[in-house]
Amino acid sequence: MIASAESTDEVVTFRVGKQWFGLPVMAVQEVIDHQATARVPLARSCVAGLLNLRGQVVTAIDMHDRMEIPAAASESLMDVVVSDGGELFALVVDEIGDVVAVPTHILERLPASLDCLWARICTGVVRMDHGLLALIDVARLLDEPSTRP
Amino acid sequence: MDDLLKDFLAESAENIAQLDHDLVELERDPSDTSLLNSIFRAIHTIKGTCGFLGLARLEHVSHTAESVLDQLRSGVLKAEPEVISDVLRAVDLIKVILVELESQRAEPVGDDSLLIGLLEQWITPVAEQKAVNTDSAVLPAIAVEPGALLSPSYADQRQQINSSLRVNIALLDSLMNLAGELVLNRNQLLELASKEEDSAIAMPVQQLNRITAELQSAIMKTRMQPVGSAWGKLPRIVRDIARETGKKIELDMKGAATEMDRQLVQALQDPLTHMVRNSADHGIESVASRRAQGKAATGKIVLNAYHEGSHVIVEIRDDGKGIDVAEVRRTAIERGIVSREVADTMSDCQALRLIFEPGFSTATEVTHISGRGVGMDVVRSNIERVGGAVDIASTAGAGCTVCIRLPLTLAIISSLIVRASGELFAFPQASVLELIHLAPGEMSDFDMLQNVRLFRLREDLVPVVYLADELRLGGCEADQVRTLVVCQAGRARLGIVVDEVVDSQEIVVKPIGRLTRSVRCYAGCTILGDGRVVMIIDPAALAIRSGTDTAAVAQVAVEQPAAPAAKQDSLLLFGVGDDAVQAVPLSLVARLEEIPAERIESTGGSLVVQYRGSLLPLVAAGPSVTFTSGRTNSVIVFNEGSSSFGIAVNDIRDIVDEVLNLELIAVRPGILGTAIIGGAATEVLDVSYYMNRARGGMVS
Repeated sequence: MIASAESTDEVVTFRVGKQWFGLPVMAVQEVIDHQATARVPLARSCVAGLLNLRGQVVTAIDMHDRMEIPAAASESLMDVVVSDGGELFALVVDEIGDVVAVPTHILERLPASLDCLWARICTGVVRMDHGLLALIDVARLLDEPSTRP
Repeated sequence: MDDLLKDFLAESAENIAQLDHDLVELERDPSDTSLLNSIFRAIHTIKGTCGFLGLARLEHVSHTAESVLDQLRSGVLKAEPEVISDVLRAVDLIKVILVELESQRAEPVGDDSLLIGLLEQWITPVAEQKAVNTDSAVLPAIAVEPGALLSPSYADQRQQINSSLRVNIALLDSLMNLAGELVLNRNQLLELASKEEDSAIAMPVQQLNRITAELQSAIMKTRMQPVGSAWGKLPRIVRDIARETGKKIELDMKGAATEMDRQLVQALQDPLTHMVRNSADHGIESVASRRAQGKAATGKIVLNAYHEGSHVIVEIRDDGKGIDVAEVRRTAIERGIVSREVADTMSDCQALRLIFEPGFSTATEVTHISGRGVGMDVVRSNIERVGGAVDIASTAGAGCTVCIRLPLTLAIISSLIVRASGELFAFPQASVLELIHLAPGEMSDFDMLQNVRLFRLREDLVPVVYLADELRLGGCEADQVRTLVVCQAGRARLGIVVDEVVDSQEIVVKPIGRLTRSVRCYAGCTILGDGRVVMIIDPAALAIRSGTDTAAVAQVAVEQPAAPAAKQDSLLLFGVGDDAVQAVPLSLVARLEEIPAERIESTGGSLVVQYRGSLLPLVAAGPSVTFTSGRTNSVIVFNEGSSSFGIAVNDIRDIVDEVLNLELIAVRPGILGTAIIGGAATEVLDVSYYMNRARGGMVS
């Protein structure tokens, strides 16, 4: 599968709306069926709530809201559990895809047309069979609220 | 000193064990400089502490060994087996002395000159090295039989020394989390088991239940630290203040072994330091002043820590001059913390607590030691932040006691689980003062002041918020029985309306994530027995958020209990002609009578009326009161002892409830002063003046 000796990133892919995204596999702790969450009143809108993952409190992030993608009518949601800064987050997504190997040389720069929200969160794009895959930087995705209204 | 020695022994035991190993390694690889450095450091540490503890023999040996190692480090000397053996001999001797030290609490007497000489030959210039006989046969005096180091006594001591070990806090926290998880699992199992009768798993589940509870409490204990670890700096601070101010102060610390959560010990440190400083600097008097008062020349500060239920109490008591309550009042008024009226109605205890208000300091001069006006309020907010409380008592001339009350742990708290708009929330039990049942009609009875709902709780007005509104949960049904949770929210109280109280339980407090931390309403979150995540409400933060914590409302909440003067009086309003209205407190009035003018008689210049078989002296309330035949006059009858008198007025107007704030404007005979009553300036009648006139009339 790895054709060249160049470095390759393994990426977990998932779909939000119609868009496919990718996360470095090392950032992902596990993928679970969507769990019931407890609301956190007054929190910013992308916080879907808190869920209990084997005794640990995990902040669930509504990826539709975070990426400003209109929410589709209820599908079977999945939670991608990622760890950042010693804290756990569950990204609520529509579908989980394969783990794919992305050779760094096929990574493309972000197109200039990208709006600033995505430009901030994404690190690059990769052309896949079913369209473009946008790679996400976990730390920037989970930025403090102060950087965004 | 004993503790220091113990620490030193424990630390040295670790170092020595490592030294043996390292030295042997060094022999094998003399070029390993990092190893050499670590050996040097270990010996150096022992030497340094010995000097500090006054262990001369140990210091001499380790110092000499260190010098040899220094030669090795600088490359003057090579790590040849002979050198290493001699250093190892020194290490052995150190061990022997340490064993003695552990059992005797003192260094053994002995002569180490042979070993020292042996070591010193390596320090002396290389050329002279061979001159000294290195034959170990001449060393019996050192008496370091290798067996001695393995002797039972040393092995035992080592075991004792090593009976504690350092553990990473993160590991303890993860143990705590795991125990929490286990509790959840147990709860689920318990529920399953309870559904099946005579189930085979009933017994094992009961066992699991018990073991889980024990495990949890054991893990809790691992997080405990003696409160004394927050006291380490205090003797030095007190000593320095004593020297600087020329006072004599003795610091007595009791209950240093009392254990509490390490987080709380940390939270206690600064407030404690501050208060001991205050005691030493402001509390304890100078030697001369103490002598003059007949007190012992040496002032005493006593720290006392002890357990009381699920709390730890820490007292700071001094036998100094105490706090001058009058000065506290004066300063509080000066700094605008309270109004004079409020200060006057406060009890001494209440007034004393004013020193916890922000911007207060009784120190008339600012010293660099303490007293910059930020102090006790910081102390209080620090203590309250961790769920504690602080109070103060003082006796003029005899000293002052500050009492800090802290929960045992922050990790597990008792909580009240409530429901609002279908969601569950937890309240820390410690901040809940009382629960009040609200019938549907009562909620519309809330008073409003500046858009803040107020609930009359006995004598006080408490601001009220709806939890569902504050958290924008929506779905607030109007007509429903609800519960008012009255909380201590920082300095003030806050009533929080919830739909119902569901449960009260012990919960494990978990921190909330960084994305939700900016919402300053929550003290954390927790996982309930059924696995549900629930937010813990922080009433103080909610009060600030809802704006009920503004000074205006806090003032209402604070003043009401302490200000009986602000109580309303019932006032009788009456006309005295020319549309002028006067008032008299209804409580002084005995009766009101309507008397026809022709029944009023004049005897010797005074008016009387035959009333209930005797003569009632009458006085007209001012010259404009007229007595017209054919009409009736209103007479206000006052009782004075067994006798009565009446004040004749034109007509009775009204009875109103009003706060009587007398102002001394346009005072003249018969008028006490003026007050705003029903929005109009109204003169208040001086009953005693009319009584004297009525009496005078009788006499003359």
